[in-house]
Amino acid sequence: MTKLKTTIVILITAVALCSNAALAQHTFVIKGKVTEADTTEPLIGASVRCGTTGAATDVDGNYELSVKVGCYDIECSYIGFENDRRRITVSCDTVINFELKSVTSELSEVVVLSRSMMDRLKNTQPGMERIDIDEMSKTPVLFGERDILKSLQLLPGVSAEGDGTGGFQVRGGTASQNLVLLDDAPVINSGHLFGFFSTFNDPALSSATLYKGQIPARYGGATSSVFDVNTKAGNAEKYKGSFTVGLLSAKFDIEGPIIKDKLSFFASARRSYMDMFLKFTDQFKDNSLYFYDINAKVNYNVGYNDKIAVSLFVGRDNLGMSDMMNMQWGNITTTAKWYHTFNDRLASVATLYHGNFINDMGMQITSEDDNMYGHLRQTGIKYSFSWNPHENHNVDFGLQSALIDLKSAEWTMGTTHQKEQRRGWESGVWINDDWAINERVHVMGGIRLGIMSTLGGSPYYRLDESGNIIDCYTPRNGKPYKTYLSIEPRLSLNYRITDLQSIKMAYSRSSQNIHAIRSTGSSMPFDRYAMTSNIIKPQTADQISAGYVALFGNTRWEISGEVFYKDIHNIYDYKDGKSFNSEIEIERLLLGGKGRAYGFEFTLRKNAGKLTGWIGYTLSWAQNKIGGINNGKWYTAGNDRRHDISVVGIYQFNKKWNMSAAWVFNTGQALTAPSAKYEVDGIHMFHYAERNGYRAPAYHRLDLSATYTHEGPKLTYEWSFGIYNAYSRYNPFLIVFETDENAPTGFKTMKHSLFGLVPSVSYTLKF
Amino acid sequence: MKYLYYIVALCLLCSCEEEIQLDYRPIEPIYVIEGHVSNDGSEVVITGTRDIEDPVLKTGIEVQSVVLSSDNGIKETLTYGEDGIYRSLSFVGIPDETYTLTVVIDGESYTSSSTMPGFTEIVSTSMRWEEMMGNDMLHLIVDVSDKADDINYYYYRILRNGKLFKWNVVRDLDSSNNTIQFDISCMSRDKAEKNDPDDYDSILFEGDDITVEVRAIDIKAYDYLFSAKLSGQNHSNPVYDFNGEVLGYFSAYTSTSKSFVFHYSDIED
Repeated sequence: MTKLKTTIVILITAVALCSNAALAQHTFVIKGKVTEADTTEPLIGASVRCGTTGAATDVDGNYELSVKVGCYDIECSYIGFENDRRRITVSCDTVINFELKSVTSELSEVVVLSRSMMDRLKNTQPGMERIDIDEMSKTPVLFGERDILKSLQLLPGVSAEGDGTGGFQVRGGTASQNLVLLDDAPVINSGHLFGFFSTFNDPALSSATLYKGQIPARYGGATSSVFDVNTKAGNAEKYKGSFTVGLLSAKFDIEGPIIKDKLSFFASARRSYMDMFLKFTDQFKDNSLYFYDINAKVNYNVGYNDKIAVSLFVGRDNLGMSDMMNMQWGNITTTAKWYHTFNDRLASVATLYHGNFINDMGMQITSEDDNMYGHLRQTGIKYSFSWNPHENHNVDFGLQSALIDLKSAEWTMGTTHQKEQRRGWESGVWINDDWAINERVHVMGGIRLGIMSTLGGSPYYRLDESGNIIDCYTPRNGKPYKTYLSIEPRLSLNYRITDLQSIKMAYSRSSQNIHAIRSTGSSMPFDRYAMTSNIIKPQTADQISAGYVALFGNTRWEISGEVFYKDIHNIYDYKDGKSFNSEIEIERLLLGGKGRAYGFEFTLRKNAGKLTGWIGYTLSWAQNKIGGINNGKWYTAGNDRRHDISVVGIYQFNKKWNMSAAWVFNTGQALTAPSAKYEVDGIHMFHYAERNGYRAPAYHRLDLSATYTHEGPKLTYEWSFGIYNAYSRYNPFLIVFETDENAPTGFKTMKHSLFGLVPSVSYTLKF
Repeated sequence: MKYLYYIVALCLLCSCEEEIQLDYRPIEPIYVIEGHVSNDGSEVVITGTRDIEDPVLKTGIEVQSVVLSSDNGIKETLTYGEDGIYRSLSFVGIPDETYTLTVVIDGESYTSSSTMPGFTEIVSTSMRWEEMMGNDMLHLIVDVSDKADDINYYYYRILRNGKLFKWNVVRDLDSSNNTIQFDISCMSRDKAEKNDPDDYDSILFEGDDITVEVRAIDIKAYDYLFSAKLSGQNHSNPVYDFNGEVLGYFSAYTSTSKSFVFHYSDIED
């Protein structure tokens, strides 16, 4: 009996031990969302650690961990925010949300750099820059207007198109090869006033990411870079706002709950008032000159698993000269997004978007009215999924389809009328897996299949070598006429050599079906656009890149380097002697060819302390080869900036005063200069023997800014003082070659510059 | 681009210009052929390019042969004149006829053809001030007879005291009218009143002899001259008009002109 009892006790103990052991072996899921306490904005890349496991939040601020039963300390941290640490007991699947509070502004100076720093170390993709809006707003800019696009130009591998302009060029590409998205809707010519002001009003922005290397498979339509900008959702708990008055523009924003924690809104508006100054001058009093933009967003939390966001952007520029000429251009974008979580491992975002860029120019010359119009409308749906089949895999997949309506030009001149308008249907499906093979090795592989069909309803041509129309065919309205399939693989590898060092390698192919054809070196609102057709082929780019990132000095310092090589096919340019208004049929004006770009980027950053900032250096080459230009030989592209240096310093004196300085240098723009001169019919002419064979003088300038912030219990105000081009260097904007009979050589070269020293001041009141 | 620069400079109310030096690289000279067949006769001049910093104009040179021919079988070898011009008063163009110029230089043959359009007439000329951006600009308005039901191409040249002052090409797409109007901006009142010697090339003075010449040209000549006009703005060469790598162009045209003496009192209000 005793033996039996002993046996039973042993069995019960064994069963109990086994069951405990089994329970101990079972894993449970802890998931939740990390948001900023003040704004309820999701925090991307926040760290959540539970015992020995950890995860980073995704783009929506969500995280997920798997842990065994037990008692743990779970801690959420995000640099610049107070850590949130809790003691929990895990015995079932659990939801834990974190609302992190921002620390003092002194620390937040440091953060912004640090967030990106960890990104750069961990991200599998080379050439990805998650832009911190706060950080960028502290770099000095033109006219005191905070401008994310100009701040972007301070990053290595990114340069400005021209002095003061917001158009940016990435790794030897042109601005027209960038895809700029605002809440997933495409924005064309993302600048006000010929690019001197950004389309993006900084108070409206919540996040922005520039993909300059490997473009993720979920994006299509850009061969150089993707700049993905998202607007604020609006504070779901309390009302907030700000109002800013500057020298040339004023803006305000307001956000708050409509139904607390359920329905929130954000709205902002900005208008320039240069035209008011013009009214005080006799010479320009009858001219108009202004821009405005409006951002609005409504965010509705339907339940834990569903969220709907609707956003609107309207931007317009207007330039009028008495009753002789009026020009207006701008974008309207609308987006509706539905976020849905199916289960712990699968979530989706369905997006409906519409982007409409228009340009309209009217002139009255004597008794004749001339008008030129154009538009580019893109209406589409994007349905993307994020799936975690295993803790080491993060799979993105989805589809996208959009109708493109492109009016390349419509001209009414007197009683004559010409128009070229075409439609296309562009679709894509993609899948991408981010696979953590082990703690050291991450691999990301994906593919995007793109389909582009030009649609009937408009004439298509066959051309001879001189660009004359041989025959013309108009397919039935809506019928696909010419279809192209593009296969775009992406592959990248991140190897963590140590906790603080990693190397990366990547290959990607991307394609683009909308081609901006520019007469000048900079993006202009009246550039003509051409869509892929039977004559114009999709532009494709293959890029390989490799990089190294290391943190040192107790992670206060960061050093990184990246090399890249890019092959671009089907780039188009105007033929010699042709311009945007030579013919209405744009295909008759173009020549196609190929391009290549390669180079090296180096960055040294200081991420912590009172003084933060970076030194960036890029050595790169960008070349084109187009039959019929430069005798069919390779030539330096107009966007080649051989040496590009940026030095940025941000110094936090105390909680109230912040100062920053930025110095930029780049090799002068490649320039086509005449090699000889001659006369025809008494007209002085130049002969250009080589395309872009010369260089404009080098570009460099120093910008300074200081900000005074006073934080009150209810109101915070801020004075911002800036000096653009502090040593008043007159950088070249335009080089002109002129005959001058008074000059000993009969010739002179003139450099035209726009800006000397430009001071600015602005005042912001936040409530 | 220059036009846009001025708009931008106006918008921002700031700009600066200064002369700079570039290290120009010379190239081997290239032949330049100017050939004209008009209703008054024919002229061909062969010159060459010169270094960008060479101020001396080139005069016409003698080459192996210069031959004009027409579709109706007329052919003439032009002779070189002492003034450096190959000229023929007997080879006169007829509208709708196509002419071919063949020039042989150093054993290489260069050819171009052109079709002579119909005649045109200057119907009237007038001048008036028009305000633009707070500045009065003098506009010369030239009305020209235009053949209806057709796309026509014109090349106007304004000569001031025998020297080229303004020129441009115009394409008339409007086939419904029998006249076409050229609105030519000639000078700003500010410049005229300042009377700065640097601006003398762009100012008309009281008593200047003005000649307005309008040529009806074919599309090929229009394309060349249009691209020549763009050349300075786009820093690109005009289209090649000859079959070889020589510069210049050949045009068969009809011409009309009107001359007058410039008086401020003739300007309409």
